[in-house]
Amino acid sequence: MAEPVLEVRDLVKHYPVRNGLLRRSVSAVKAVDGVSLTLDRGRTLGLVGESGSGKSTLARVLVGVETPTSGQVLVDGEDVSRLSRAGRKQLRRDVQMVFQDPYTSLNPRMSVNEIVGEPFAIHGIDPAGGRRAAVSELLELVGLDPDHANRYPHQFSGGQRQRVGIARALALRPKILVCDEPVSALDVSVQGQVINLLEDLQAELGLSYLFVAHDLGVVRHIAHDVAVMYLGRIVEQGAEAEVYDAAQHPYTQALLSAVPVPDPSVRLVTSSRPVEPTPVAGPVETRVPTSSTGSVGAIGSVGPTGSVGAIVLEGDPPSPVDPPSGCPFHTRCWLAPTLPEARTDAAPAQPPAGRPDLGLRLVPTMCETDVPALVPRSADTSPGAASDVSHVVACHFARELVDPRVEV
Amino acid sequence: MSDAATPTPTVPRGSGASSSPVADAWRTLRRRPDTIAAAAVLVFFAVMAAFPRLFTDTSPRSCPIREARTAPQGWGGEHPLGTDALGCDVLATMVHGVRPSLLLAIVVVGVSLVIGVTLGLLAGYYLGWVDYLVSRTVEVFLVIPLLLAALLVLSLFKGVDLGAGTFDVILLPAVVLILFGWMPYARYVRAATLEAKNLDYVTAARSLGASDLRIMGRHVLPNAIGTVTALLPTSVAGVISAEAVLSFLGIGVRPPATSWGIQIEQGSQWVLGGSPHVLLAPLICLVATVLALVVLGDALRDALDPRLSS
Repeated sequence: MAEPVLEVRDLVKHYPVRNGLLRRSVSAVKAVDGVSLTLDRGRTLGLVGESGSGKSTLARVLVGVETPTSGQVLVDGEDVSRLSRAGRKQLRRDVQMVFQDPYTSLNPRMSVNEIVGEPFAIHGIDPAGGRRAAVSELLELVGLDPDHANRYPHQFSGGQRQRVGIARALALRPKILVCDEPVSALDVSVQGQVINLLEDLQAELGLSYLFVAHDLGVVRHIAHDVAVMYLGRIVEQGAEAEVYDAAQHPYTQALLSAVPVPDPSVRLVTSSRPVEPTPVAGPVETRVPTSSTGSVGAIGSVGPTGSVGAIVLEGDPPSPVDPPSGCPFHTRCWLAPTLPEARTDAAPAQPPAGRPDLGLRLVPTMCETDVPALVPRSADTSPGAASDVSHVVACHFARELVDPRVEV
Repeated sequence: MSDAATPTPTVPRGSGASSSPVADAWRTLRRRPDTIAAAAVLVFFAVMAAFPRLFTDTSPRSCPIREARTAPQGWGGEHPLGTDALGCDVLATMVHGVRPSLLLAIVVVGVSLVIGVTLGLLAGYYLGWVDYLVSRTVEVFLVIPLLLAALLVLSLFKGVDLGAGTFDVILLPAVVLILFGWMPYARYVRAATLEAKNLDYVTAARSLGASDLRIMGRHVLPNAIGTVTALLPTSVAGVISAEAVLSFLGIGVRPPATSWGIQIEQGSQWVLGGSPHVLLAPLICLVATVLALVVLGDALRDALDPRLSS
């Protein structure tokens, strides 16, 4: 196994919520709440989750734009937070970022030459052959015409701008590229080009990618490993094939079930899932993945048996200011109310003050009280393939989830 | 490499090979006749400020009261634009008033701009206590009436001999007007900075390790200054007319130097008294200057913004 190039240990990023005249901090938005990740050299780690799950915050912490509240970020085994200012600047050369929106990520008043050459200017580097030659080389690397170096961003299309952004990120020869939804704002046809470019660059330069996205299809295409985030925590992590084909967390399953199937014979089915006799779930619910590109909605994916639809989650994600106790997902979990444990535990006679929603859903007490650890749980489900410890899930009842119908 | 290796430009450029932005800006500027006219007007007044003797031989200080309020006599006459209420030649007063007026306007707007932009940029970028300090200071200066402050400065400089050099005569009004003229720039720039600093290209620069100074200078300011440039031409007019009010209190341009502001102020008393020319002559000059500045400012903004140049 390759050595890790990036290690994140127990990373926490809280934003204080200030209130009152004295601007005292009264609470905190727990954007990232204890995340641990490992990224191996030359590999791609896909990070998926709903809007507001903390993916982008995590990416910003990793490139050094935000400072973590606690936890460690190790690049090549060196703790970033322990380094001096100069050392941190040096380290920033190793981790670079590709942004989501190619229309705001390039300064409209700078020419492409200035944009791509800026990393050299900031770090005072004079590449062999001069900056201009280095910029031309970079533009060629990302598939742009070096003669266009004097043009301004508004003269390029979205895909070309994204290539400029990639060229800028590559200027300092980084080891790690943090891609924050790099294709979400692009046309589907252009998405493919940019993804292929990223894959080519990985093969050519030996880059490691942290690929943040909410488009599960794109992540499946490019990622070797996948981590699923919910409310600032990782709920499931493992190799791409394991997470996609043998998802064990109910949230992951819900996400996967909502991926549109590119097959016109698949009809849109309002969810009627035979295994989901939820007592409170109404027919019209807020749909699961939030996405600007179209991978949205309760779209029924007809598996080989042709009888199941999408899993529809209720309501919005809870506020990260006040995340639910125990398992953060238990307020929306479709699985918990169906478990036999939920029936044996009596619901509290009166909901605790201030949390009227708490007693309304019948979920196992364990889910409300204990935070599930992110550990391998595949032992029971498939004993044959259980030896892999890289597939970890944060759900008390993960072992009971077997869903053969998820197709991407 | 993928099939997109041959990008096509979204905006085809007629001029083919692109050159430096300055040359591009100049080319754009040249194609607009209104720009050339505006530039000509400003050059005309600049020459007038530098060499007033080219335009009149009469001294603005010889004021025979017998000839008060003479009507304009046209070119070739003794008083081409007539005389004012004290018998001073209007043309001579106007020509000799160009230098203090324009100098005052440039100094006041320039210094206010530097102070306002710097403070606004720092406040918007760093927020926290810097912003608190700057914002409260802006508010304090906004609530103090200009005339009250002018009287204060007047009493401070009472009895101080400032001399009669080119800058000395405008020192007092310049100090007062700068003190109370920088706040709009600070507020505009602060707001624009707040907007610009959260855009992705600023984050990108920060993730590259750019210093705060570089981010402010290269990324935030060029994109935040747009709103302020629209404000400048009218500020020039405001400064020139505000100086007239100050001169009424005795802290305007110091006599014996004259200015358009003083002339407009005095001329306005005789508009209905049969001598509108005393007001009209300097007023037309002021309006022409401001219009020229507006047109030039517009052209400059279009030329420097790569998105607007076609």
